Amino acid sequence: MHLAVYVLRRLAYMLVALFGVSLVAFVVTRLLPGNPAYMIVGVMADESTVIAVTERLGLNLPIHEQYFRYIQQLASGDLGDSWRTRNPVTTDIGARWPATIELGSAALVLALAWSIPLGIVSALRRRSFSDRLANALSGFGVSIPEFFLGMILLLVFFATLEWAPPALGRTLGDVPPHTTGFYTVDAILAGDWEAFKAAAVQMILPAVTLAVTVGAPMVRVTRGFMRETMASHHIRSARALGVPERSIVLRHALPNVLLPVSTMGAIMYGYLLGGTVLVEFVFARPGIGKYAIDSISESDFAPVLAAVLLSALSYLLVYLIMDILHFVIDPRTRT
Amino acid sequence: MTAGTSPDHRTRTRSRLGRVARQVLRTPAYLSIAIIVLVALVGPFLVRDPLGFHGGTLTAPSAEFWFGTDQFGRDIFARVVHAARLDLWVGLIAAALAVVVGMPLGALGAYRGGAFDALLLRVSESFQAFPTLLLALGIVAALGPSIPILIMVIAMVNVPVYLRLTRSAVKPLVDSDFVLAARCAGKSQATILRRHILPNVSEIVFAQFSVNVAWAIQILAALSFVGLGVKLPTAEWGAMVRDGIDYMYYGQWWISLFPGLAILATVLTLNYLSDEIRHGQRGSIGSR
Repeated sequence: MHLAVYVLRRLAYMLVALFGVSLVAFVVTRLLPGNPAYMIVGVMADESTVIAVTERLGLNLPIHEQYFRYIQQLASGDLGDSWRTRNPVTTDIGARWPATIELGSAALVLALAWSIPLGIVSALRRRSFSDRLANALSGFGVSIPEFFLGMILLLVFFATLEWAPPALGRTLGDVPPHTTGFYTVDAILAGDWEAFKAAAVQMILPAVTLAVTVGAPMVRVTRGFMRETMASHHIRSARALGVPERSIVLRHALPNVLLPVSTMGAIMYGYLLGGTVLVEFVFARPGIGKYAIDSISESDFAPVLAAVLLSALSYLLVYLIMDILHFVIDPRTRT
Repeated sequence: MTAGTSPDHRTRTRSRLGRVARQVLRTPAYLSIAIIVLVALVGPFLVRDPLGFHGGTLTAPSAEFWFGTDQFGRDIFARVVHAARLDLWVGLIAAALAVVVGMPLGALGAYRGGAFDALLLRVSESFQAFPTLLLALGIVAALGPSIPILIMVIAMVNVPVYLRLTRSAVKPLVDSDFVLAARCAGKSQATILRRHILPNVSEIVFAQFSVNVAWAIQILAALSFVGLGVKLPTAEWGAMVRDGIDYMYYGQWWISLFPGLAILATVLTLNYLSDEIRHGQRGSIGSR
């Protein structure tokens, strides 16, 4: 199959999936209790004002017409307004997504750093100490709820040892001048070491929390693929040819393992970029996840929809990019 | 079984029971799931009232209150035990519902192929792209948090798992000789699926079942933790962790710690149980 055809087909699938997600999310948010018109004008407003606002928002229309209007808006890049923050949702998200991306990226790097080496080592040395460690850590990481792990880390490193700062948002120091929206990057660009430190220390515990829970399944996947590869014919051939063990692992086995593992990493990254509701909630970090949950509990339609769509989009996009990369790298997928 | 069972048969039955019992005691995963289930079944009859005031708010764990008391003077140990029943129930029912819906759909999709299969695949892909927790949160917020709604929502987000799992397990069986033979014998589609195909994939599905009960419990706990799960003051592990969040960092760590550990222990056990089922499929308990 030609690359262009493949990309187009995958893009079409992605649009269909996004359409499905938007439809379900739209219906669900319209079922949320409470008329947003009341929330905008207040409970003291007279009936005619409420009716006027309801009509302006299009809430009196049948639901399919409301959905149609929403899609039209969406096509012009308008995600609606939040009545809670009184901002366009695009503005709110623009202010919050960097916090999520910054945390998600740090968490992914940490997760890859511990899970892949551990997975590989434990596959090579079965029943060794590192294999047992990998088993215990991945079992623990898969089983502990994110929010509980975050709280335990805060209990130990903030409340008891007092090494970590309190979980109060993105920074307790100065907010660096806005360039990228990532506080750590902005602080480096501005050459402000203090601001960088203040922003970075706020990220350590949430990033570690996510790195543990996201890295845990990756240990298992890496170990599984590595074992499979080490038992394969081409590794046996390499051994028979007298290739040194080190070279077998690094040159012959590892590339085969990194392909499926990178897919897994990409899926995890997509998940992290979509906003990690629980961790942002526990660490009071104003990202997409926190925005979504604050909006849900106050029946604020537009931000909830936007957060869901954004989350689905980041997942699908990362997945798409990985698939295209595989298509280019691995000839076996081209059938 | 007839009344006059031969002594020979009886010893065999007894030794088999003995073998099962020994296996349970020897395998940590079986032993600990047995303990958890026992606590959930019997525990609530043995402990204090989970909603009652038992004197002294925020008292640290002691001989009288093993896990301490919370801000309303409730016995945390009693609440953790009562919550075990609720969390396990919701997890079990939600995962079972997901199997009942997802398994036949996945099998049917794989068996029939074509447009139906493609549609199923697209729908479950859409679901996969959905942020699970946000979806569950949204629906619970829209329909109101009640136990049946929570079960439905958790089951719903679990359905695609079984759908895909069953589909991929059934796919290679569809063109196998025994299915062809059954088809030649004039068996109906439903019979072929039920009698010939699904029994072959049931072990894979049951290994997954344990994982999904664990996942269901995690989702329930997460929903309750952010305040959209069970209604207060119901004892539920996630809600109890939330109860203690403001006290956790100022010395009263026990309110959140024990229910959190209960989630961890239960989920860990269920996950290991699944590994055990998968590894034990070639023998051990009930070997053929």
